[in-house]
Amino acid sequence: MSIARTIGWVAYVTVAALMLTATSARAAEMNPELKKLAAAADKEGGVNLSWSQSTLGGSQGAALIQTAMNKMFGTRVRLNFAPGPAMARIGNQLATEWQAKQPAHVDVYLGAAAQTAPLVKLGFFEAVDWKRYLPERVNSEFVEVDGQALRFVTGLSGVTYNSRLAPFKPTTLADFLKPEWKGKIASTPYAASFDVLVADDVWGKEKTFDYVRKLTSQISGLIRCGDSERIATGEFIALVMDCTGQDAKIWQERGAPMDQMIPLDAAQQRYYYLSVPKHAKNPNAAKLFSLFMLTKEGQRLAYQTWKADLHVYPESQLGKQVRDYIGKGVTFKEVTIGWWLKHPEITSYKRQMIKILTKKN
Amino acid sequence: MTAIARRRRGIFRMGEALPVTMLVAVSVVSAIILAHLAVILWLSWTDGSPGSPDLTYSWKNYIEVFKDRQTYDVLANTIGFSCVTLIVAFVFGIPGAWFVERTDFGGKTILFTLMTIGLIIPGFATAMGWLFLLHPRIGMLNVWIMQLFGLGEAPLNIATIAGMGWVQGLNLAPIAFIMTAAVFRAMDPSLEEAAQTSRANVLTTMRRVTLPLAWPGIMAALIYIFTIGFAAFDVPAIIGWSNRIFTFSTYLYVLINPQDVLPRYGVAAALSTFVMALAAALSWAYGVMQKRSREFAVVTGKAYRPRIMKLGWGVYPAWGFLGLYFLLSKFFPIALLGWSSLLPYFQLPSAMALSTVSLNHYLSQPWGLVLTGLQNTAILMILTPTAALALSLAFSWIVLRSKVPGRGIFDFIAFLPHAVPNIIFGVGALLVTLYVLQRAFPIYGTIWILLIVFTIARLSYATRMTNSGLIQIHAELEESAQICGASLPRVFRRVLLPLLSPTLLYAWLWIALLTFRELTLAVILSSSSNTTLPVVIWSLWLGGGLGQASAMAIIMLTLMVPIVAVYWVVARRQGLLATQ
Repeated sequence: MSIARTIGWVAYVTVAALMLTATSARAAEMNPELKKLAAAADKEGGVNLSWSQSTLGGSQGAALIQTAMNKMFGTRVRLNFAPGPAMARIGNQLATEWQAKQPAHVDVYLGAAAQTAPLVKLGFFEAVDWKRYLPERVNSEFVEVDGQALRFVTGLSGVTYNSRLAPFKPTTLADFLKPEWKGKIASTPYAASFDVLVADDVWGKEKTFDYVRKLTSQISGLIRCGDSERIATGEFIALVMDCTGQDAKIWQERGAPMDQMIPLDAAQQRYYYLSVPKHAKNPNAAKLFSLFMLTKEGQRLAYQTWKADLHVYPESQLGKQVRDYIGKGVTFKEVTIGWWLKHPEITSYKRQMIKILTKKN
Repeated sequence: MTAIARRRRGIFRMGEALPVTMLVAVSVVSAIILAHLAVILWLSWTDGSPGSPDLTYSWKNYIEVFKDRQTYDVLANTIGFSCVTLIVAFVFGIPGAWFVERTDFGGKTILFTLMTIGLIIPGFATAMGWLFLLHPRIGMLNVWIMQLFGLGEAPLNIATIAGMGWVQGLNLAPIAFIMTAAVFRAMDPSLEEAAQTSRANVLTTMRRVTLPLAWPGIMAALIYIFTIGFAAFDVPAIIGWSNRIFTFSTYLYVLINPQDVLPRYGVAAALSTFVMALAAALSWAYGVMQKRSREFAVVTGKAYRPRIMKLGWGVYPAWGFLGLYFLLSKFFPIALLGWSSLLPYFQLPSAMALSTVSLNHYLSQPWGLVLTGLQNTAILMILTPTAALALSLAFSWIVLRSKVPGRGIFDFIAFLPHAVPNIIFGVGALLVTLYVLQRAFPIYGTIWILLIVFTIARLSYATRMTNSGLIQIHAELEESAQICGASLPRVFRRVLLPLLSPTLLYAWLWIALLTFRELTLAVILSSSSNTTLPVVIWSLWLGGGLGQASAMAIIMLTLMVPIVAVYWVVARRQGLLATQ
């Protein structure tokens, strides 16, 4: 063996030993419950994840999270990410698999209250005592429906639009009913954010339906919330309404002329949740991943990849924006799963709105 | 007693394992095909979720389907889309076929090659390209026309039924070409010569003789293409979906992937049942036309030479016409796809756009998933044609060579996967694996479910190929071998398979290529572990990664090149890319 090769091997072994020591030191800082969970997750070896390629940075984001998570917990868990369809579709696939007694195709379900609340009723999410694992980061208010859903990022709903092609800077939802926007805007095929407005304690059915009916003659197509590249390209000039405004910021960074408008009379603060299905193949790795997303590093990566984090953390980037909006007099409607479950009227109204929106005039 | 006498006496000799195995295989596959459709029929009468104890039976789904105005809109859209598809496919396909078969047009082999290869290029890739070309706001051609003529609005819109039909029609023109070329080839030229002797000019001859003679064959091609258009998923999904234009396949996809909790399988099944009835009617019409077209065929032998028309200077417009077709159907959309793959987000060519050109979308692919997709696609490309052809051979032998009572039904069942839209088979397979086979054969979410459904989907084409191959081999050859003491497996190995090998090889490659581009079935049945390359592209596109999806589509098209080259060599050796 040559000297150079020997030195190379010694260096390699030293670095590996140092990394192991560092990892062990970090692992030693974990509470015993978390340590046990990490060991169980490590044994499972992987976690199956699926959401849109634009959520949490898609496949590239998953790779970043995998490295950081394993570094933090001293594990070797593989994040098997597959770009997936809309959150609702993943949810109904999970529900179908649960009914058919099949293992879940994903180990973690990522959804907002609109998608998670109906699934909670089917009872297939595991009630996890999240605080037990990470008491310093998990507040009681983050844990909803007895631990079946864990808040991990905040989103502010509004309208994402192409600032270069917009006929004027919009300030209210009514602006999009003006002739200048006709045939140039899109909505979502799932009535995103209108499903909140339609609730009896927000706009109510009459006002929301009236708006949606008028809007449907203005829109030329339907796209998913994560499909913001189509706003950037100018295929559509605005998405009325979006799920959250992260995409506008992501595309701004890439040089696209994008912006988000928060309507003063329809401002919504929603959350995205992580839930572990009872039929998950790798439940421990799923829990570990969910907990990681609430750590400082996890939150930093959530903002880096998706421009979203949980606004209540002191280090939150989104928190500053929320405080700015509140300072400007914006009052946000807080949309939680609990709120959603208290409004059973939304389900049928939403179905009717989807029908209105998907029908071409 | 001789082997022939033994075979003629009964269904086949007792104790011969191969015929029994083939009959069992054919019966099992037929049962699987029928089970898929039976599940759809059963579900259409149910109310509630399958597997749930509170499942009840009622007319409710049918009432809902037929009461909903959207059903009629969707059907009108689908029929409109299929009609435009048909017109465009014929406008480009029939003249091409006529040039090749009935004129002295040069470069026939090139034309055949390009047409055949054109059929292999995935429809979703060209649809993505057309969106960048003719979208009313971002379509390059529209913007240029608007700038050139100072127009306020885009003159063309791809996001319409006509636009979608245009794209699908361009994609299916090669089928119209191949099918009508066969019709022109088999026509009796003496009738045309007689017409010309009676002083009829070229147009009159064409109107009064050529077209009436070709009509049944053209009608068969027409119904065949209409059926494909009716079931199409990729073009309507890429172009129509985001513009609120639903055709049958995309609407069915929405029904089984609703925005509220559980899929509405019952309603989807009721709609599918209605479409299955339509498909059955179309298949019947296709069968009738096929039979009628054979009545006009002539026996072609070495002495047979169809009348060749001299194009003269007309060769230039002919080349121009066909060149335009290739530019429109393949070059422009794929070039736009390539351009889009190099930009951070799609922009029209400009100095600013050029400054942002990079390979980022190529470098930032989800490579782990792409490799899984590639691996699964490669496995399916090998196993699907192998399984489909092995089964087709069994189907053809049972139908054409055995004396099994009612064997004709197997041929009908083998044709069902073409007649019934693929998406219905996909949904059927999904439900069968979820609710019927979940314990005995847990194949949900695995590559095996894709293999089974892909094999079934290709059975119609594969059996047509093995049927025609087997018909051309006289039974006496096999009987002679059996008289010499050869067992049936030996007859297969030494007589049938060597004689059928060119047909089998060509069909194998063709099915492999179709498997490579298959999207509809894979989308319905995919999960992260059984994903295929087209599904990766679809997921990227659907998730808002237009640039990444374009880059992946270009990678996929590049990967097709060596496979197409092999196909070309094989097809050329067999003379399938040349006429006369």
